[in-house]
Amino acid sequence: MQKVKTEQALLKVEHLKKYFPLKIPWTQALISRERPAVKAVDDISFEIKKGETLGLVGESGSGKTTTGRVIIRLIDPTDGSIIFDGKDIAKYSKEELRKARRGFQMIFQDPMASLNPYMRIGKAVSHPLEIHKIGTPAERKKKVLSLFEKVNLIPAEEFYSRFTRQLSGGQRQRVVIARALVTNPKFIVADEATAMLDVSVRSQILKLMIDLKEEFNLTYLFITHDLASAKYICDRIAVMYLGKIVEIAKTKDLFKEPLHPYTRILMGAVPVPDPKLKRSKIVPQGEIPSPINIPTGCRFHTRCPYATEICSKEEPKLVEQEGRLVACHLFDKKKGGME
Amino acid sequence: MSEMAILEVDDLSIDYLTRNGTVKAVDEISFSIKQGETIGLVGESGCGKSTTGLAILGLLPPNGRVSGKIIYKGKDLAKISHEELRKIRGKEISMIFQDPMTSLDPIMRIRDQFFELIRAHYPKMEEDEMRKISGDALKSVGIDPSRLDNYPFEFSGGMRQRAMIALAIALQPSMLIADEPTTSLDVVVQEQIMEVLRGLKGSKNMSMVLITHDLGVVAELVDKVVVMYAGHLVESGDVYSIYGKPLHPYTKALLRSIPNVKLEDTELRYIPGSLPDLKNPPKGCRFWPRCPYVKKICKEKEPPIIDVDGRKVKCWLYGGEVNAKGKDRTSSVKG
Repeated sequence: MQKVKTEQALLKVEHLKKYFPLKIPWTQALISRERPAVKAVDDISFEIKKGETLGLVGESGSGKTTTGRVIIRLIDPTDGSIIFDGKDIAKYSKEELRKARRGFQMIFQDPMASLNPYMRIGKAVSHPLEIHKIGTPAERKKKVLSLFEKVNLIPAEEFYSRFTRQLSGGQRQRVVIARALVTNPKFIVADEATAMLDVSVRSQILKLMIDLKEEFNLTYLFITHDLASAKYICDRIAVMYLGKIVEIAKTKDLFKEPLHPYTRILMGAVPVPDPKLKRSKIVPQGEIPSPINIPTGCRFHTRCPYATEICSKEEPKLVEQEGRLVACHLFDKKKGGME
Repeated sequence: MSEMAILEVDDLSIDYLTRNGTVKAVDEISFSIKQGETIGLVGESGCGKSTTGLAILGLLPPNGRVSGKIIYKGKDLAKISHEELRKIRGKEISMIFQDPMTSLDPIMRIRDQFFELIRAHYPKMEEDEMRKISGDALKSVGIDPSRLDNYPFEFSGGMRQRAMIALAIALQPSMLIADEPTTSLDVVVQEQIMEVLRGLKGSKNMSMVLITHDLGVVAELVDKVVVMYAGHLVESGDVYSIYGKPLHPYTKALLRSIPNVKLEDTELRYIPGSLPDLKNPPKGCRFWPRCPYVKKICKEKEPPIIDVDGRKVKCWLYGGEVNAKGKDRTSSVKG
């Protein structure tokens, strides 16, 4: 790959917000100034370079799936821009979107729920080609068969006429990956693509995704709660908590030294396959707060073992710290914080 | 720790009768659990670990056939009547399932789900006492007893799984079977649930069977590990020796394939191929099509279970006519 190409941002997300308004009785709506809303994604910005894999990591309820869905406009953003390949797709009309969708696809968590049980998998994978009116039926079949070979569904001809129920979990996920690739997209959002799989199958699918990325020049947004899986596939990782990004760093730096207390907690929660190891764990306190009533100041202060007075009052900004971004008062030197 | 085994599974085999033939889900496995001990039943999906858990409580679907012995405190659970089994379930041995949303009744208050359980065993108990038992159980898993009047939908995923555990331990059973208790949860909640299970293990002297594919979870919780592959027990022993020096090629491969957070470890390893079709398992050792050390005898004769340093391993590498040396195979194998 040329150097110039890799430096370009394929996707640039700026001040992206997604609020889901709550239903309230009309009597209340008359008197209250602000409609309460679930603030699933609350002003996040990041970019993904061509050929890069960005990991989006956080607990259930941190807004990572919503972010993935908003980026490819499966749901509409409340505010902000999504610059994909130089164009702001946040403002695209339905028709423009339909055409643009060839360029970005999604791999969902549950392959059983994202494949039609009554459709043969060959048909399911060629379906996007039909929708986009690409090729003749014979060409479509050829394309699907070649993809089946790429994702290791061999013999491809035999798999072509199978139903999902005749496949194992790992094979189903391979079908979903093949379907995402069939329109030759540049960008793929993988939402917990390996979460439902067994450990050994999980590694197989991760390896497959890494190989395919090389072969098809793909760019990934890899959404997961499992930092261990993210380590193998991501170039950079963004850690998300309650609708905000709290830390972005190169994978290597993040694993060498996680800065944000939340990242440390996520890291510590990954079980280590060594019974002799007694880890000094920071056991997370409580659960993720409601995204309707977001805590004041730093969103994480209610569960943070290092929280000080300022944390409950002032929201920390995402500031640069040794070439990486972290939003925590502990590292905000200008404010005279610790360290 | 007392030396008496509380549960002894002896030559247990389970077949599922289907239209397309008999599936040999579990094939002559044996293991035992002592009072206060936790064992991990480990393997990939389809290896028979959940089936084994269900069989202990007599919860197999109607097409399941059991042979062999499941001795619990001197009684063979595989032979006793439904009525007797019903008295044991929930009171003596109870079970936690993977998906808490489908195992809790969505239209019943948490309280009523407790009461239903308690009444099944103590039909004459007063409501006050039932409330106390339920509240105490909830408290022991870190949920405020005032939440008894909530419905499951008012709980988060982690709380639902904790409520499941509370239900399972409400009547102080001597044994708990946990089938993938953390699989559908994210890492932080998983850690919290493991903390609860660790607490139960310490305070109640409860025996536990932890069924999971996640060797990381197993390492942090159990005393003894039973590794299963395609219905066979391939290796069993104490947790330190299995993780320190795995013997069976499958255990080795499984341990190597766990993603971890160590910075220096960047190579992604996995076991090539997939599980065999259990309607028509391969002849000889069931793991040979994926095994890097495969020998001629492996394809012909099923290996016996061999004792090695107090551990059990079902592999020709450790006995019989074959030497314990093998070489890595380079080509991959079609499952």
